[in-house]
Amino acid sequence: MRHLSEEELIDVLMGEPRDDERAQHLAECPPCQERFRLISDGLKVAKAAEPIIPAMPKRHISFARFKHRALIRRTAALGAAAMLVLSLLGFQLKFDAQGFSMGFALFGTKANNQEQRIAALEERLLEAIELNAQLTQREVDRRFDAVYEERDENLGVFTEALTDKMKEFELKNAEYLVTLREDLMREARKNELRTRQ
Amino acid sequence: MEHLLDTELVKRAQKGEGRAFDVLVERYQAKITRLVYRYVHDTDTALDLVQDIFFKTFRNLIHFKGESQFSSWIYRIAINDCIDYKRRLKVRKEQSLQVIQDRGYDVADHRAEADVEGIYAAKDQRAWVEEAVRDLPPNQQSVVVMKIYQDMTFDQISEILDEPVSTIKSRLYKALSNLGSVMRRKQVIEEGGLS
Repeated sequence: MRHLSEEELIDVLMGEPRDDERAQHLAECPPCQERFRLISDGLKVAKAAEPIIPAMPKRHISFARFKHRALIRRTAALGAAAMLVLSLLGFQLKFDAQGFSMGFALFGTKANNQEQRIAALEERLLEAIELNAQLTQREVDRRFDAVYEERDENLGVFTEALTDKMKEFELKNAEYLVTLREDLMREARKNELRTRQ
Repeated sequence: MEHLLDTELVKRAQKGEGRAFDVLVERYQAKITRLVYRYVHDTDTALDLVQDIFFKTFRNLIHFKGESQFSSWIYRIAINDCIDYKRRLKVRKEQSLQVIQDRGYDVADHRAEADVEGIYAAKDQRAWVEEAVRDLPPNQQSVVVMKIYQDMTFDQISEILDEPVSTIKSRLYKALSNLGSVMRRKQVIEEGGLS
């Protein structure tokens, strides 16, 4: 006898589509009944947990607003990229209380000796690192998410395999319980007969 | 413009007609907000996520080729955003737990006074069912939200998640089995507690 599959049990539970053959099998097969009872209980839990949606204010979302937001983002990204390129090219960018200022110094004109040249290089390198860090933060976040996604996927595969194994045991267990119940009933009937005699 | 079909509105919005996009927002904002709230259970988070979902829709609208329905496409963005949110939340929870352990608290403290969460759960009959649904893996929770709370058909869910109907049904089976098992464990504990 072929037991009902997970999809078939879900179809019966959700009533779509109506299938008399499945319904008949379910009425006669205790292991399938046990699995069906489990998902029916699950459906009760899910329904009981249905969130009551509160009255929520509607946020103003519009094309014009998003266009503005996208423009700001693009400008900021382009600005940061330009600053990074300029900084790497040797421009010195400063943003302080006096505002934004930019200078340019070629090696050897401002820095006359070896130490000064190294210090100037280090300063530029630090500026470049700082700007680069801002730019790559988003990329790092994205990769971080990707690693977790991959971990979840692996866990998902493992869980699925484990669940299948558990289902197998569950089915065997349900069958065993049915046999056990039948044996007990038989034994009880025998005892009853003996008592009467 | 309100009477136009989604496909026509999308075409117009892709050409830069702002009003067409605004009509799409009006058409889907409430639906998406309900879906997201059912997933995250928090008003502020839901409103922030909805804003984010529509911004993503706006930015990617130009790439929408109409291979699926617009509704499925926007629901897919919403579900993916919710799953991402849940994943970030999980990472933050794991990090906070690490901080608690680093500070020397024993998270495995099972004494009655340490089980603050348990005390609150006992106070609220609804708490454990909500927790059971929230604890489902994100892909199972999204099927529960869409099928049981949003009353979508399996075909719709299949289009939104871009997966076969059989996979969706199997995932719903797993989700409901998990919830059913939680209910049974709860019953066993309560009966054990009474005896």
